[in-house]
Amino acid sequence: MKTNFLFVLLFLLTNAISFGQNCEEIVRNCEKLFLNEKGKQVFISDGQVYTAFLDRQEAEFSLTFYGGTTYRIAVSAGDKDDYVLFTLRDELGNVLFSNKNHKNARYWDFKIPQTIRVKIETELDTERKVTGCAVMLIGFKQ
Amino acid sequence: MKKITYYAFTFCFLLFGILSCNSDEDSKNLITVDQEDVNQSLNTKFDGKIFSIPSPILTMLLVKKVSKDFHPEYLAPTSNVDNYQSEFKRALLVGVYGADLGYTSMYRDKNKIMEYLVTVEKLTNSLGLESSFDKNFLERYQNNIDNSDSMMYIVADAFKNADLFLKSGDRKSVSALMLAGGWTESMHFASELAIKHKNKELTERIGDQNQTLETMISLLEVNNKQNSNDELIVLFKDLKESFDKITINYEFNEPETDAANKITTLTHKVNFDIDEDTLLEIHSKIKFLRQFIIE
Repeated sequence: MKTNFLFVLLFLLTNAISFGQNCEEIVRNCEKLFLNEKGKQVFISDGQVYTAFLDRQEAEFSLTFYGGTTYRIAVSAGDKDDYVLFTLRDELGNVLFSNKNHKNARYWDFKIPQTIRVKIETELDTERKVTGCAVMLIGFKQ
Repeated sequence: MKKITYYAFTFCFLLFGILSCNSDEDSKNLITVDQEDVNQSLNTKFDGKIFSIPSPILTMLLVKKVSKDFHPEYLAPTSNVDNYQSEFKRALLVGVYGADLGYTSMYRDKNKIMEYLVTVEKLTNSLGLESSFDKNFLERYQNNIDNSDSMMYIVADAFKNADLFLKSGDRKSVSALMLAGGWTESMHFASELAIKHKNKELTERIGDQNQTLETMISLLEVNNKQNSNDELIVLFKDLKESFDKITINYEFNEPETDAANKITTLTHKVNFDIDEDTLLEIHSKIKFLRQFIIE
């Protein structure tokens, strides 16, 4: 009885630790999407890591893209499949891009001739994954 | 039996301790969903509300494009760095000095680069961020001192690692203050040089900070531990009042997507209407805000 009880607690403890590690692992994998085929970094990170625990719900946030810049949005929720959907809208709600139309592409580049305020909506493709840590990184080059 | 209860309690305590490291600081922000909705279950945003502040490096790159001359007189003085004792001040200043490090790197002024590198290292160590600004970071930076592009990548990655470390460790308030400091310093350079050179590009860059400022205020409010950000929030709100005077006209156009190369080009039109008085007012408020941070 005593052994079973401790076993269950240990199991829960191990799972809790591995979730944190898993999310950091996803960040490290996502960082690779800023490299070119030769392994050279081609996009400068905006210095922030966007993580969300998604469970059939969207995470949405606003940001400004500056004119004269090319941005790369990279997403990941694990390296076995392309789990994350993201949609870019302008402030009027017009869809500027959705990776849903491009086989859930893990990254996409945006050439921005003039400054624009956008909203990014992120969710898991529930046909591939229903719950988990989703990571988004934003990089830029000029 | 008493022993089992003791062990169980200890394990539960440890378990919840670890879980709390990964959860949002404000559990009141957790999103709950109607239990009757079978398509949704209890939802939690792992990182709380998501905020994005543009990198100060982007504005510093524009500053470099506009002004070929190096302006050390606009840099924050490093002489007082040992006097900053509170976590609040140190975090803000990591942002300020980080932006200055980016600026000096663009002009490859080796003495200034070393001065700001040492200052950033000192402050980040005092904030427990040694893992992001470690010996390896310093070596990489020094080895690339003649390559400003490489230095940009290295400093941006170090700040990204610090952001991840702080967010994972439930220290988002420190991360928020670093972003606030970096943004303020980049706007200080932009406003000084926009006025000096009467430059349209820099003026427009300043003009389009309203959304970022709004995000910044929310970020500071959400992460306002023991009301330590109150004074700073008042200053940011006052600054926002001036930004509200700027008119922006936006016109949507269908973007062009090149699927083979995974790139979309936006084709919208945007116009800024920012008069000289408003620019001077913003400049004066940014000066005051920066003084509050570095004093």
